[in-house]
Amino acid sequence: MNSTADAVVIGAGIVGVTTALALVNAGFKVVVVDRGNVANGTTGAGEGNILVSDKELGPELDLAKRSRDGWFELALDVGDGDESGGFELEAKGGVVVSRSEDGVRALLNLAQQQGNVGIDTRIVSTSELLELEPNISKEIPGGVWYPQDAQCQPMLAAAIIMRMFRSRGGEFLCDTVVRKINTRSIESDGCLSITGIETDRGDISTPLVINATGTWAGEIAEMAGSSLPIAPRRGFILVSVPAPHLINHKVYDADYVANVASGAAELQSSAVVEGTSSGTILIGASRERVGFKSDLDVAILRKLAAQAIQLFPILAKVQLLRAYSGFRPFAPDHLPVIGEDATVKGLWHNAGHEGAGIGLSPASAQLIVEMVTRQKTFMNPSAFSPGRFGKYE
Amino acid sequence: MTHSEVIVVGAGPAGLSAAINAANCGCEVLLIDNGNRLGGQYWRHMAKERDLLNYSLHYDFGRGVSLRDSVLNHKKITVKTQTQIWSAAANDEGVVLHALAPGNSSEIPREIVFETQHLILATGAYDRALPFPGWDIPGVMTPGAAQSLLKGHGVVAGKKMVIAGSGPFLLPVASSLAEQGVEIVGLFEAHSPRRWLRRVFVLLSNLGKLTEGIHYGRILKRRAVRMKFGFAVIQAHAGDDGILTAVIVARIRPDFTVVVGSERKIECDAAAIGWGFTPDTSLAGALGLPQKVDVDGAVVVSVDERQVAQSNSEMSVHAAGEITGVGGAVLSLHEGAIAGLSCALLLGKITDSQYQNTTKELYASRLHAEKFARALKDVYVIPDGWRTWVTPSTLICRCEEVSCGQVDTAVRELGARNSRDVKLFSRVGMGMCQGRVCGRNMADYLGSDDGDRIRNARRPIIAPITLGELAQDPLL
Repeated sequence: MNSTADAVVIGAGIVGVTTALALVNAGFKVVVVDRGNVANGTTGAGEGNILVSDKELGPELDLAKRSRDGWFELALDVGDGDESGGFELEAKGGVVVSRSEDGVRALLNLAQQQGNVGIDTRIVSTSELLELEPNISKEIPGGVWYPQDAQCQPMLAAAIIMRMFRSRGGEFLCDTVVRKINTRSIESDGCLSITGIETDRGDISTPLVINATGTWAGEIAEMAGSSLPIAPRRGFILVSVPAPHLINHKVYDADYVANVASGAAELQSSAVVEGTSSGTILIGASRERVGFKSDLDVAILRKLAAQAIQLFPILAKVQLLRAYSGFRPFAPDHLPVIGEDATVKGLWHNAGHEGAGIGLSPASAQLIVEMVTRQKTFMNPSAFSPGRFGKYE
Repeated sequence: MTHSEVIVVGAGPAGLSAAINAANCGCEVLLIDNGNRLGGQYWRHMAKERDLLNYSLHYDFGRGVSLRDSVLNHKKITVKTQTQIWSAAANDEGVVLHALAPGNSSEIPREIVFETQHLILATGAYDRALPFPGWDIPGVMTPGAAQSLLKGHGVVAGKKMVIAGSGPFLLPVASSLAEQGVEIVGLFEAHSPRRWLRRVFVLLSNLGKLTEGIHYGRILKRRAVRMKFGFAVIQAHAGDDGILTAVIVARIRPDFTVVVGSERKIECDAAAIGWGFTPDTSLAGALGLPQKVDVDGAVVVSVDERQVAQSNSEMSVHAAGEITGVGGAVLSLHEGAIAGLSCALLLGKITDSQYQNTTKELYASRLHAEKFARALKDVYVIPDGWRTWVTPSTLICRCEEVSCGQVDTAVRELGARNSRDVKLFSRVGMGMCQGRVCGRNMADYLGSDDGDRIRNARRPIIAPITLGELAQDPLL
């Protein structure tokens, strides 16, 4: 069946559905296409982080600040008056700690800079830390509390946003594989211009394609005759049996920020521990570039467990119930790719958010809509420009 | 890391038989089981001092004892009980199993890593529960749970019990409980015995099974327990204390829909309700073995005629017993024997012709037992009419307390179209049982295809392990 649309969004992960909803809200006729269903990729393997604490000063922090507020607006919009949006959105706060005095000093330095740009940061002493987290190791000298850090259940969030998108007239084609992206060449500048897509369920004519395929965004870019250097960066998450009230916040080791910022391919891991509203405790976070290999690696699970116990000794007695891996969309400079392709007009990328896609999606969607409709953008998006990589081979 | 020539996982009929047969050919065998004693669920028993009770609780305990003792006395077999495998991986060179076992000196279990080139999986099955309003009330259990309380601890689950569901397993459970003085206030088989009429030949050619059935029938008759056919427990009620007080039994049609107006209440303090068995393929799935959906809808391991699930010139994984398709103890013994001999052949302990001579009769016996197993699956099929027993508030996933209504919402409003979507959108199967109980029911509820059933039966963490146990370095 062939059809036409103002815009086609490829990918029904969190970035795809937030972008699709924002476009529908702006009056576009939008079709979302996914080879599976909502949240079948990285979104379905995520913890639902909506963090401002782990960002250093720069464009990503600006995006994160706006996006964090965007999540609470989105929850009110789609959640039927439920402030949690129906997807467990909660500003439960983050607590960043360090086990060394040096680490604490570096942490306080970062917090001060973040505070200068309006992030709510509260330095906590050992005793205050124990009030926030009664089960935390007494050996931790201190840390920083970020009350704005939030969390949601990302799969449910994506599904509920998709439901709202459809109720506003958007169309979703699940189990639909994009076979080809059609372009025509513009003779004046040697560029290509989007004319539509071909799928295994028919063709869609459209002048606008949004590539929201996360870790797989390079494949879609190539299909359109362009390129993007997005690679999978694997992470494991351990999930405990329900153990309510052991851990109140998202608590993580300051090493995490350094690990996120590293570009190394080999394994890095640092403790990220949090309780969820369903009672389970989630433990991360490992990062390594090993392609799309999803086998369970006991050595990594062991390391994550040991690191989590260093932060919360009580976890030694808590049972591990399941573990799974996901593939973060990694860009070489750790910044998302948000904007129009440098060589293919009408092809817009909204991908490469690495481990922060849930948190950054509302503001990324907002940027896309503002740029597509030629409005003034809420921030300067040039740092996210797809053209920054040049031609990537 | 402990290396063994052959590792057998599971010490029920299939595992014991596999271990003996491989060891008799000269293989060094390590037999691992998570229970306290050999025998698996089928020959679950108490310590030797209580053998009098053990014998009275089993129809054929003697055979179990002799197998158990030959394994324990075999020089080529090392036994490791109370050892729970929690993670496993296979590659072209072999298999690595991560297990928890009681530590040498410390009280907390320690992790042990086992390695082998020839693995035989005989991880058995557990009984299947179907959801109905009240199935989560304390006092409602599966026949297997009632049986293991009795056989493993000498404890009866209640004073006044209803036993219901479908399949031949209801008979030994009812008769052993009746023998221990439990008042059986109702014994209900969902299917009509007429379903055997077209399969009389299979029944008559399995006189052993028939004799066993008659044995249970005699006990039940002596205890004045009559089995009623074509009825099912479709609701359970609790008293103010939340504990079971009564069940509602109704006449059901062959498709399991309820005949309206046939409901009646039976007071009881425990109810054992089971609907056949689900193979435990957790370990097989973690190893990435080929799986398929059996005629009864269960996910099973695919094996060839030598019980090989996966092999190359360096390694092999065999599977035997219920995990290759539910078929009972006799079939499991044959499959286990063939798997053990096939391992010996691959290891060069026996020649091709020795293998063929020894297995000729076994192949025939296996085929015979398979025919009987097939007849059982046809007679005691579980059609999806049970879906009419549930209401929107009935839990389908007890661990995460997800109701059928929440699943309906995930499907209708959120666009879930398979087990994984429903899991992500509603938490079905994310809890303690990891889908062992609810997964198959969920697939039936959704009308899932085979691919969805197989994917949904995967659970990389085979058994829970504490983070403290995991964080320690394994014992060498």
